[in-house]
Amino acid sequence: MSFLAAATTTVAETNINPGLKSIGYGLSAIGPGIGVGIVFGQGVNAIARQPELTSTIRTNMLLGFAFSEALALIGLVAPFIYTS
Amino acid sequence: MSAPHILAKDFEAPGLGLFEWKPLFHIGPFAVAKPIVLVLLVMIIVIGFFWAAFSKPQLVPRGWQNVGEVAYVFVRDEIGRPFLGKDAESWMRLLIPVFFFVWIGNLMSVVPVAQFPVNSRIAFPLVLAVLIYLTFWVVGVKKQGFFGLLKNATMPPDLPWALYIIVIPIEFVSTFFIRPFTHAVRLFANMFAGHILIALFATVAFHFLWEKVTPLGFGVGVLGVVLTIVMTAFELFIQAVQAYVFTLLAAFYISAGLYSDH
Amino acid sequence: MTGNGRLPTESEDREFANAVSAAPATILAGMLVFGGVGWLLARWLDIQALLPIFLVLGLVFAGYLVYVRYGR
Repeated sequence: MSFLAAATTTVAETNINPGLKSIGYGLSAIGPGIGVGIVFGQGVNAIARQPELTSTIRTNMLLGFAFSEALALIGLVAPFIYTS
Repeated sequence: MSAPHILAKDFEAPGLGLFEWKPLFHIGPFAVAKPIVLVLLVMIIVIGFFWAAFSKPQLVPRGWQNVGEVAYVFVRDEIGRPFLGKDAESWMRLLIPVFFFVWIGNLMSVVPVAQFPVNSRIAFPLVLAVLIYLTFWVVGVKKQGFFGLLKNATMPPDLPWALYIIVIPIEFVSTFFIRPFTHAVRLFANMFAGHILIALFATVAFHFLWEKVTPLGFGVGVLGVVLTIVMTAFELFIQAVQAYVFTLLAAFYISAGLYSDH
Repeated sequence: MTGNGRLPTESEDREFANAVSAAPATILAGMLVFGGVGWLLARWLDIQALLPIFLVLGLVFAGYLVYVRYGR
């Protein structure tokens, strides 16, 4: 349970790759997070300015969101590709 | 040996052991531990509250009935009506227990003696999500027929027929496997992560301010106290939001079984 | 879906809420299905590169599916 004790005794044998994969996914989720925030933020802003165009704005918001989210999902799947 | 190493040599971060409990007592072969006791407590609280509010309803509400009416109207108007339309009232008998069980179960994370969010054991959100999933199936088959449900869920209209071969497995997996999975895991992961965070900051505060007080560690300990308070406030918000989102998606999946929108 | 000129109706609201949760689920499902097929094919034919190729194919098809179903 004491992670520092475990880390200092077997430095030569520990495999840090799973930890690196987690860090990699965490870092790669920053981009899509900001992207989705921008897409929906600007979309809501536009709807507030012109409510009668809600349908068009919603369609485009959805497309932007889907492609931004696709990058996050690629980041989720990437560790499995790079092991093979 | 760097300075953080010297500072934090004895510090043990909380890990997965936070979620395992020794049994308190046994009923026959069944071991009863803290999560089960908390779940029973949540059940008693929810049933007791709605019993006190609505057992003798009066036209002009008094006492508990006021609060009960606010709760009922919130779930019916914000969650039921947008998705279930006119039938929202008949679905309240499912949605209100789900909402309040999830919310009060989450609240157990910040109540002093309990301090364990019930939904951070995967079993409880999983059972709720499976219940909603089975309701979706039963209602969908009754309303649209078995093949009608599959057809409406997996085949979008107006596509060239060759594309359907690719589209049908994608839509099938998306609707019938990924939805219940993310439904349960969203609630579970939020509560799991929140519990670990609060426990981590509280352990930091306790270790650096009580167990091993050093001049350098004192600042870290004070930071731990401040962050525990901040994380508890944030957790209160997240608990309510997750309960709302869980019930909203439950209503949405049930309405997907009721109304095919093609 | 051009209901422009007036505020969105309830069924359009429901359709949008449907689409927001279905878009990433569809993409994930596409990657899962095609990734599964690609992984099985890679094991069978012993060509390791098939797994990423099929994953990307799944991503593209799922993206197209989202566009066809929710984007027009």
